[in-house]
Amino acid sequence: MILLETENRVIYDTLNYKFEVAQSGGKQDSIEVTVADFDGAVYHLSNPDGDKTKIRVSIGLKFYKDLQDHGADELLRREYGAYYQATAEDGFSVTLVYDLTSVAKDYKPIAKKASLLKRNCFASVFEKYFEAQAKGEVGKRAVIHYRDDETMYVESKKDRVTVIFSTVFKDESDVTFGKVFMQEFKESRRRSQTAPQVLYNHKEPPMELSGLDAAVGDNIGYVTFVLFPRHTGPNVRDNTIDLIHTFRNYLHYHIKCSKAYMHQRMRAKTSDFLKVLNRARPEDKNKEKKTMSGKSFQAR
Amino acid sequence: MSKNTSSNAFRRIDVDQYDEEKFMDDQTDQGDTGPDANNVNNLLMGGKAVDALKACLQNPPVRTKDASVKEKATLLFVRVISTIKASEISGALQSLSVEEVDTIMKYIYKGFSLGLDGQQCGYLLSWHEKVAAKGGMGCIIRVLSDRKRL
Amino acid sequence: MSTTLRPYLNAVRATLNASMCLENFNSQVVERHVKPEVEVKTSKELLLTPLVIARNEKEKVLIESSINSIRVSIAVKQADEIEQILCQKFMRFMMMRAENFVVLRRKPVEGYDISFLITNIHTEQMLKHKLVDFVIHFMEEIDKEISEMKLSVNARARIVAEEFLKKF
Repeated sequence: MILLETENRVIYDTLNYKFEVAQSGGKQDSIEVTVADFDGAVYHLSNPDGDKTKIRVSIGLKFYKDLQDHGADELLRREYGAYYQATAEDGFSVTLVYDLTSVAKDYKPIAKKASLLKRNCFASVFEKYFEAQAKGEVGKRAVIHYRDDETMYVESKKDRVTVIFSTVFKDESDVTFGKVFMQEFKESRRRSQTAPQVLYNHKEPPMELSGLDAAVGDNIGYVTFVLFPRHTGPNVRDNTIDLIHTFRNYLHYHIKCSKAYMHQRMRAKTSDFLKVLNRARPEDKNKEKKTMSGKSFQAR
Repeated sequence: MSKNTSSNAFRRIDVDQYDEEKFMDDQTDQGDTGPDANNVNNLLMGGKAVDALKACLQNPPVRTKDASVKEKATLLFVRVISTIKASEISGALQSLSVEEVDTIMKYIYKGFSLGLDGQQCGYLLSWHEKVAAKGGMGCIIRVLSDRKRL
Repeated sequence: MSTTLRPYLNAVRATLNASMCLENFNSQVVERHVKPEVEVKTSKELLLTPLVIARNEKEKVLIESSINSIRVSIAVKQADEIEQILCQKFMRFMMMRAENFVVLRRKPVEGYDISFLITNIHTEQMLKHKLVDFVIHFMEEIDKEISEMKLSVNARARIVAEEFLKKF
């Protein structure tokens, strides 16, 4: 599993199950599930007002306000149509309600769409800027604080869209691992012609962000993606959005994976050393000592 | 009577200094100056590497406490052995006495501790091998236990 | 550079063989106590000359011996940042399990990455030449392990980058 899944597996499976039960006419149980996702997102599955025939799916994003500024509401309305609720559940940013009594024959795509709720929230920002770039406009830079210390900047220029992630490495060995990974990202341009250009700055923000008071520090890195029309065209942009919006999670996930792998190796090597060390102990020659008359000595 | 018994001064005497078996490090600073650098340099220039080695082993600065003298002598030694070719090492060692072999070992170990670069350490390592072959375990043990350290 | 590895390990082996002569010795300072003299260093006459064997400025071994204990400290080659981090992690990992390791010291000596403390008890329980073998084997394996770990990190980074960018 190298790439992270874009959809939320929990939502997908739960909704599928519920729809299946509804379709086969079985009895519905009440549902109350709270799931956490990347970037501090919280999903809440429940029955609105205790009505077991309806399922309410809500997502809470701390930075939803930033996304709303870029037209998130319109995009969600477009994607989810009738399911989208005008007012979100209390304490959450977006709510969808699904009616179990009228489940469509082909419910899997509906469930899938619901599990892409977080991705669709992000999508609005990207789509707006991809459109702007397609028209050749230079849009105002979007700033989304998608995590507590981390920010995403999206900007469209005449011939490209740049997405800049600022990321914080909580552990200092993460910084070194991060550098190794980003080095490979930078160089992979050579191998794959279709890939976007990736740039990495350690400690300081790149030139595009100068004057913006962006964070500076030893454990801060800035990743810049330069997306060309080839990546932002209407038929490929969904794929691009899928990949880009979870990039930061992807990177940190793999850094943690390598640390776990290192740990595994170290454990194996250590037990190896112990085996060699134990070879140094001579075998226990437990000779039984006996006296002339046959009584044996016992070690006290 | 009471004056004597109430005094606690006896507790502060350092008893160890009166111990007869106390170790007296009988190393006095005798101001050794190390081998004659000029002589060694002249022999090196003249191409007489083996003689330079012998000259370098005279007067090792073991009795002085001055670290710079020791360092100078060791660096001189490293220079000498770097000029002797690998094939000539055993020949050079043939003619040396037991004390001189011990001195070489002392210089080798001192050379290691100076933090020299890879190439010079390489020379020291190859010499260490040959000298250990000639002097045996005893040579190394004498370096460890000799009070007259470089 | 790798041509000095064999002579380096041979020199370390010879020195260890010569200096690992340990016997029980009660503390002269405190009654009925036995302390590893190389650690407490209270009596000068019980300590032997500390010896260094160096392969270059970065890699060296310090051997300090005394009458009942010997301390071997190793400075491992660390060429770049990632090797430094891997070395630190690995050494810390092992030092936390020092109790299992018996001969390992919980903290390395200043200026070195890892230290062993071998006492007369260990040489009585274990075969001396095998202990020396162990230290030499340890030195070889550490270098190999760190290069392998670094290679695996680089390989993983390459795959991760490729997979991600392939999708565009």
